[in-house]
Amino acid sequence: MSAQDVLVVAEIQRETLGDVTLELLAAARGLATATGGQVVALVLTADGARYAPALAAADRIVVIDDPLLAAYSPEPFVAALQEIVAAEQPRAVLIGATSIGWDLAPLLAARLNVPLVTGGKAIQPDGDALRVTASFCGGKMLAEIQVAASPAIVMVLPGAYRPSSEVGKGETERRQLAAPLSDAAVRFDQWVLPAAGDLDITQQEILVAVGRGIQQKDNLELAEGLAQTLGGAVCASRPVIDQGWLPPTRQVGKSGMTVKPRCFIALGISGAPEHIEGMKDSDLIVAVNTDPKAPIFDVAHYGVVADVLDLVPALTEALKRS
Amino acid sequence: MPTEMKFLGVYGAVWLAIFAVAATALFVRRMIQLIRILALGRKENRFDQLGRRLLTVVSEVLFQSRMLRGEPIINWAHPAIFWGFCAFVIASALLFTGGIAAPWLHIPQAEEIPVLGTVVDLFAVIVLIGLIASSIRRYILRPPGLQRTADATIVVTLIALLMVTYLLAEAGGRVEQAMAREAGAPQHGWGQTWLPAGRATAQGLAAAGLPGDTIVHLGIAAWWTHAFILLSFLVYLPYSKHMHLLWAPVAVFFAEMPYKGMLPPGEEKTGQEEAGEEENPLARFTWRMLLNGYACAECGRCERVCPVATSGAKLSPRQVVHDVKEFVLHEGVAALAGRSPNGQQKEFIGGTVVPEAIWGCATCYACVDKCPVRNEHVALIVEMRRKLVEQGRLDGTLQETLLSLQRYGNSQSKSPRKRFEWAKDLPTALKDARKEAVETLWFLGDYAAFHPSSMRVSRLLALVFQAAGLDFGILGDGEQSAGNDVRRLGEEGLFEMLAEKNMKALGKAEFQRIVTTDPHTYHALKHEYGRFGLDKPVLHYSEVLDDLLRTGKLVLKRRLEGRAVYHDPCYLGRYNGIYEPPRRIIDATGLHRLEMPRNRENSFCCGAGGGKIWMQEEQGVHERPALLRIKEALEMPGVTHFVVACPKDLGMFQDAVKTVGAENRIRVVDLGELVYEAMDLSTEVLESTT
Amino acid sequence: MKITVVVRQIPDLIEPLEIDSSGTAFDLGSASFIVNESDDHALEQAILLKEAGGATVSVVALDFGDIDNTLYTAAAKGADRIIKIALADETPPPPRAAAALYAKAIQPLSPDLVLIGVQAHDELDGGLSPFLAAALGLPYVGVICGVKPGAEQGTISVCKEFPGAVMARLNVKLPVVLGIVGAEQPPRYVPVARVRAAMKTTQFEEQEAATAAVGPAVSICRLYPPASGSHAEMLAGSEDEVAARIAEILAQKGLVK
Repeated sequence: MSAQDVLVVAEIQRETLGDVTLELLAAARGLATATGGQVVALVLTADGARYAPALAAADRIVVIDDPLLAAYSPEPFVAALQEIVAAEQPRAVLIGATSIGWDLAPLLAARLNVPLVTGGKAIQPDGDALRVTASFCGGKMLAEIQVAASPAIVMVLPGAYRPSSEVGKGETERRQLAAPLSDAAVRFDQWVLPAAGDLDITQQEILVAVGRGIQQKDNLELAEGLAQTLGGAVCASRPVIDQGWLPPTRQVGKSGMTVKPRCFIALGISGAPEHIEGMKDSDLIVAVNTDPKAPIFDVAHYGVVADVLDLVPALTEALKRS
Repeated sequence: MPTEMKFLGVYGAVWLAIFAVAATALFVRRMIQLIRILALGRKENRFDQLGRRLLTVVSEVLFQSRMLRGEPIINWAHPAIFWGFCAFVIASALLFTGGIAAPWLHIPQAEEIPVLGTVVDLFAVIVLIGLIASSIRRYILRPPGLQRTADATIVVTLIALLMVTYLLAEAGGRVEQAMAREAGAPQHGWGQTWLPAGRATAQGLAAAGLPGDTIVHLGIAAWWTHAFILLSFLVYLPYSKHMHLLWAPVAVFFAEMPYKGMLPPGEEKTGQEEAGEEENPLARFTWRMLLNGYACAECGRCERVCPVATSGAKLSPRQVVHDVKEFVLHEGVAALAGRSPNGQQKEFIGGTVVPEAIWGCATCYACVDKCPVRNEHVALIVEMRRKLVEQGRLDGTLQETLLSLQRYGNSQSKSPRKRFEWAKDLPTALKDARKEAVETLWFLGDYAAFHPSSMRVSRLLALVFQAAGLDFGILGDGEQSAGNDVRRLGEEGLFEMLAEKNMKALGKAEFQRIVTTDPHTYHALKHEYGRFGLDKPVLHYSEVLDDLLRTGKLVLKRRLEGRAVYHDPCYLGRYNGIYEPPRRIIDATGLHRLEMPRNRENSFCCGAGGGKIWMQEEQGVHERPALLRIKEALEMPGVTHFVVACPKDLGMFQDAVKTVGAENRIRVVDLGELVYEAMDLSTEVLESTT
Repeated sequence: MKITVVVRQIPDLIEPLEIDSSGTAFDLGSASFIVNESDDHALEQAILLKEAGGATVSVVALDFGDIDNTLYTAAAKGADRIIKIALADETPPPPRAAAALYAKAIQPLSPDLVLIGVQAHDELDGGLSPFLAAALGLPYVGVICGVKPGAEQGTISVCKEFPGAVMARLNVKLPVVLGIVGAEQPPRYVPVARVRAAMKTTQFEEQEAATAAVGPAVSICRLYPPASGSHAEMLAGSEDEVAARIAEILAQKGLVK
């Protein structure tokens, strides 16, 4: 690996390659093209070679097979990552801002004593440095950041990049770690899956999503009515789920489901980044909110500044008539 | 006298004396126990305004003023029974003293005393009629909340027996006197007094074929029965719900004064976490709160007028007071006996009295206002809420609201700097009273400042004030929620914090009087900010508009068309007696005004008060109070305008109108809006799109 | 079990944050501050563990913003010790540098468990929680939504949140630092009266300002708010008009049955 390469940490959980990895590869490609380096995908799991085809966008796919990487535990993952990065010294290390990423990136940065930027939305080289556009303050503020040292670690927000169809060299190589791994401190026990929900919202074509603006649990029936008229289902943002008005399987967002329905109607949802992450790829987004400055209108295709409790009955009526 | 007979060699008088002393001793012992239980409660000063208190007792107890104005049938039956009781107290005093003294000294009985005798005699029948009527009401008509308990049945039966035995004794005495007259024996004062009921009874018995001797013996037996029922009643009384007889006058004497809706300060907190139940579970209630239980006659009026109970929710004010009574008697007796509360037992606040009942109250005050014994259900519930708040047992949305009030001074999680956003586009900017002196400080309140439909009304009201040349200003971002509902939610500390912050802002401003949009704000500023140092007069905007109209500073050029009903807000009407200014304003606009059946002090609450507007709706309610109220208005022919004078009412009733789909029939409109429309100002109407 | 909780004050976003004249930092003069939400959850989790039996809770915070109120509230909730660290500068250092400050105050406490919110919205160069773990030389795992005593002595069982409402249960050996995203129940409400009472009885342990470590820095070239939502086509009119328009749009896309 040369000092112009860009390393991407592939994220694999429950035998699935996360979508964010493909986005990271696209980001890495853009950066590597500018720096003249290669895109390297690092696969930390057991039997990692089988993910190679999915990582075709990379030039090199480094696979580390170790039984202790089969299930997630911070220490083995960081140790493995640290060894590879310390040895190879890439220009940048891209990690998704995910549950695992939030552990790995800072720990790695601390161990290597290298800079870290979170909330990355765009990365460009800037001479010998990197320029990162980072989002923070709940998505309400952007910062342009210059990172001088190398390697620089950037946590990239899911959805900041779109996966590209560019194909890289795709060379796989297996690596052995010098130091043995240990998961003594934090050991994976088991997955806790949500109680089987009545339906899978990720399979729905039409979703009616409710947020704080619905105010009362009783008002859910307005959303249900609209969903029924459209032949869709009701889902919700985190605050509604936290109140217990709908089961966790109906949550859309970072810690809930990621959905891509044909139509997503957001009712009384302000549009916090964690929620948008879960629905931004919907084909058609219609948002209703009393606040004209709500961030949801930045992703919606159509917006209405109105009270949900007034508009939804009218909309249900209009749909029944047509 | 029947006590001149001897039983087992001893004068009946002596037996009577023995039993009377025993009964009295038991009675006094129980009364002392009850008083000592009351003393376990927290201190509360109700020993001021003694003259006014006495007058209240004379009016409401002696003259039964609340009963006379109350529900049909019982509005005459109860006064009849009560006044009968008063007459019989005198007669019974004479009976016992006379009875005990009889072998040695003659003390005239009621029947021998003119006027008194007649009164008692007539009341024996009047009371019986009253008992029949009230029994028909209780057992056949069955108004909700009026129970058919064994206790009630025993009491009615005993009183009826007392009347019947009195009449029989009278009849017997009459016949005995007649027989003595014939025999030339001495008579006492009998014969001078007109005793029609007694005479009718005697005649009736004779007509039934009973010989004179039998009637006399019957009368003597009746006399003894009467005496023993009286003594039994004396012993039973302080254990039954009928002890309201003794405690109601006390409760009325210690009624809340000088304004409605008084709440005692919170218990002193030490800052240490409380582990489990307090040592003395009664200690958090004041003695006057505990007294509620003793004075309650379980008549059920409170439940019948409660908008929350009527809507099908779990709250019944009568049940709350009843539960307190049971709790007091149970825990009180245990505490006096030195027994600690049984750890196994269900907790009282939040257990026996379920959280839904405690949080369900809208603090509308209908219950307290109607209660004939001046019980204060709202104060009780607020005290219980204080405990739930201490324990953190609040629903999520309520918690968020309280945190928002703590951080931002408003319940809407909005920045304080946005409090006067609604005034941004006014042609003439509002004055900041902290920067320039004004005559009137306009204190808005959260809903008038942040709720979309109310913000529009605030804009119109500002234009009206300006057009009338009112010299007014605002507190800007210094204004916090006045905290009326925070206090009634049981968060006393937060109320104090809000009051302190408001006083700080008010301290920076120069003004002569305050006008409020919201009646809740009105109530808090007027009555509860005095102790924080507020000493300026507080008015509601309806009073100011009324005054401006009457002094000609406001001229209404247009006559509005339509038929209007006015909904009296709880905190303006029932709590503070302001009924006429809003009505005069509506009349001045030209609208034809009708009265809803429940108007003025009988107004039916929208259900938003007491913090309920910040809570999740209770499950299982069949029809929300606001819906019930709108339906009341819709039943009136041709009503087009439902006029409100409170921002919370505006939102609640607009929602209700939408729910019943009556937007095309009736319009919920604020007084300020009406005045604006009738003024026909040439300035543009600033419509809000939010 | 000895638990240490870190609580932070962050700028309240209810009003837009002002950027100073240099364009590279916030002008916090007119900003208001609130407790970081996930730190509040971390405190709640600590108190829950204390209530379950046998733990003591120490709270460590920098003297910034409205921290006193947060600390008195923590005391009212049941915190046993409260340590307040004075700041050398006007604003707290960024997370990476701050980690060393906190570590210095926490080390003497020898905690078994350090709980801290996994994120704060003003972080740009990483989360404080993992850096704190690194500074303390303790293991770390973050995005934790539940902590229970473990099967063996000296262990705890935690739940880490993953997408799709999925969680991973992990067995953790103490001592450890956890980045909390949510406690097992929402932070409890403390009545104002109790906080005020705590003000009278609670003593903070005040510590001197330490110099923050100078780590690998990132430099902020510019701060700016994102371009305001011009993405959506806004529909205006009465409810019925808008409803009809939306129905039309949906029908055009073949979404109406």
